[in-house]
Amino acid sequence: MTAAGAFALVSVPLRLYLGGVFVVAGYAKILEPFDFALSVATYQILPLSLINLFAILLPWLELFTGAFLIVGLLTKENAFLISVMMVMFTVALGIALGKGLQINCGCFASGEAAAEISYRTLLRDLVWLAMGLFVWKYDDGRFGVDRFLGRHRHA
Amino acid sequence: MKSFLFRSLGIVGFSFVVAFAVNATRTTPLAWAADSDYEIYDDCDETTETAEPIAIAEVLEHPDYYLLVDAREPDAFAAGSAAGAVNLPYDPLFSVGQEEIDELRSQAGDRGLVIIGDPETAKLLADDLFSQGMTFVNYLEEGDEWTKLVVKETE
Repeated sequence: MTAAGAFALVSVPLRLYLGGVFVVAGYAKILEPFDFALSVATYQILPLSLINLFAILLPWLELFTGAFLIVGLLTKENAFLISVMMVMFTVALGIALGKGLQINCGCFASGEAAAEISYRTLLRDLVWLAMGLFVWKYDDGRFGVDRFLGRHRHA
Repeated sequence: MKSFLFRSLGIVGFSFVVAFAVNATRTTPLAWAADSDYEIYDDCDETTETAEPIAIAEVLEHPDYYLLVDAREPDAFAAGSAAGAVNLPYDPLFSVGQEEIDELRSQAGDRGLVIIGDPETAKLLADDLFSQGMTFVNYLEEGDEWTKLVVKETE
């Protein structure tokens, strides 16, 4: 097996894990849109006019990119989008931590059930970002729907 | 690369269409833009200082040094209180108003305040007054031992 083939193999469990994380995160936010909007507001980054729009749109993007990543449909595109979102989340967390805000993450649940942000949350997001970038770069579509759509790229 | 970006944008667009459609069908859809600020509560460092307790022996030894302030309700005060005490019924849910503080200042003159009444309420009132700039304010460290002071029937 070539190095590229080995990397593609390694990317499969990462893809499934990361996809699962995003499906769970998106689903939890879709169930409680008002609570998620409040979570977004507590970061004090977005202007008031964009908070609700963000709270309406982001959960579905998380859900679909996560689900597509799990089944291996448009894998690279979804891994790219997830990486972009992870950059966004990491920057937001960094800003909130830098401001010394003691707020809930709002990552998987909102309100009282959510965990408070910390540098561990930031580290976790960086690990997930690294996973997303790895899948984006190395997944070649051989283990997923992409293979049946002729989008499989042999190394 | 261009097709990669188009496909990525397609996923984003598809997610957004679903997001808007689902939001529109909710019984209470989230408005695209919030019309009023979100109420954000952030834990902040404790800055309010608290009043100190004072021994009843000190009050008995120097009665002219102190103005006793009874924090109980008017009917309890009317039923009997310490000699020379004034009544300032206190509800811990509301801070003492500036008008009442000014009146207390004028009544106390150069005397310090000693809050009596229900021990818990007395301490809260003392803390409230202290945090509003009345530095010479204490509460009895013996709690309800103030009843040992000369009790008289008030008019």
